[in-house]
Amino acid sequence: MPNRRWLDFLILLLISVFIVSASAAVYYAMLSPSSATVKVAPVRFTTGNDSPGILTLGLNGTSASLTLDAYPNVTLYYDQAVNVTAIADKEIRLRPVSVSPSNNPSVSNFTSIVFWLIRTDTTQAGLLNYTTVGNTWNTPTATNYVPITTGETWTIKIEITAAPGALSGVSTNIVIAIDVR
Amino acid sequence: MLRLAIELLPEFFLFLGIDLFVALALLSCIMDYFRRSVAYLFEAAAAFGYVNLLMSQQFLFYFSEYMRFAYCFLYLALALASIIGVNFYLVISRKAWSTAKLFAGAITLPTIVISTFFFSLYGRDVSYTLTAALLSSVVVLGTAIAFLTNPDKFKDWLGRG
Repeated sequence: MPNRRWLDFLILLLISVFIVSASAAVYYAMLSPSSATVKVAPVRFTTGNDSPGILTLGLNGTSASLTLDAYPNVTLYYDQAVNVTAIADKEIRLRPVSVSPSNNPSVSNFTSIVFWLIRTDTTQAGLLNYTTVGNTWNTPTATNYVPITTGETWTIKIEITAAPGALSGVSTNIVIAIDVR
Repeated sequence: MLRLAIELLPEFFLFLGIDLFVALALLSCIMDYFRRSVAYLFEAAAAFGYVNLLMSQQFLFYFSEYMRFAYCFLYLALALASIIGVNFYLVISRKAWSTAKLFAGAITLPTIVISTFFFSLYGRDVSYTLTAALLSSVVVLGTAIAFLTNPDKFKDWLGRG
């Protein structure tokens, strides 16, 4: 092989080594851009004073289901329907997810349902006020994020008001999320 | 069911194509059948693939997986077409039967088998197989047209040293 060809081969080899190693590095970087690790939830639901009989906690306390009563022309309070306990310093907020049925004649049996997020020192950290207008629910906006410190237990207070002459057996389903950051 | 520990990304075909072009560049440089610039042309194709890989990384979250697969597989198909083309060139134009047989056994067949193997790992969906078949057909058609339109001039250019 003539000298010129050897020189070409050397140049091409150097460029090839660069291209192949750089491509491998880029591909490797694309292969592992992120990872996910399972950890204990930093904020979870716990039972409050009013929880017995109305609260069903999900596995690991990451969800809670409440079955609440309402009486015609009466405002019923659940002062500690469910508690929220933090095991790390975080910020939390209440966010409405869904309400059903809406746009339905049964909605008019309710007047309002209010969810209060109450701190340990009994001050209010946020509230979601669901009110009815005719056959429709007015869905509130999410509350602002508020800091919760490690070991603190806050409570969710619920106020339900049914309309005068509300029919027995009528129900509504409200889903609320607690966002944690 | 047998599963790979790491799922293949569509860019793997791009990476494979880059490797094939690099190998072609080095081989065409040491073989006496090609003019000098052919090796640099293959090296430029490998560099183009690298740029393509960088762009794919930058736009990873904007391009859908299907689109990424399409352009990555097209690049690999071009690399494979180049290898097969070199094999045909050795046989038809240069009448170098022994070299062509050696090239087919050592380069062409293994690269096709390796590419097929990785495609079989990736192509879980029928749409990917159909896209791969369509792109391969387009590459074969393009190569055939290039040979048929002006073969003598093309072959002359390839072989001049």
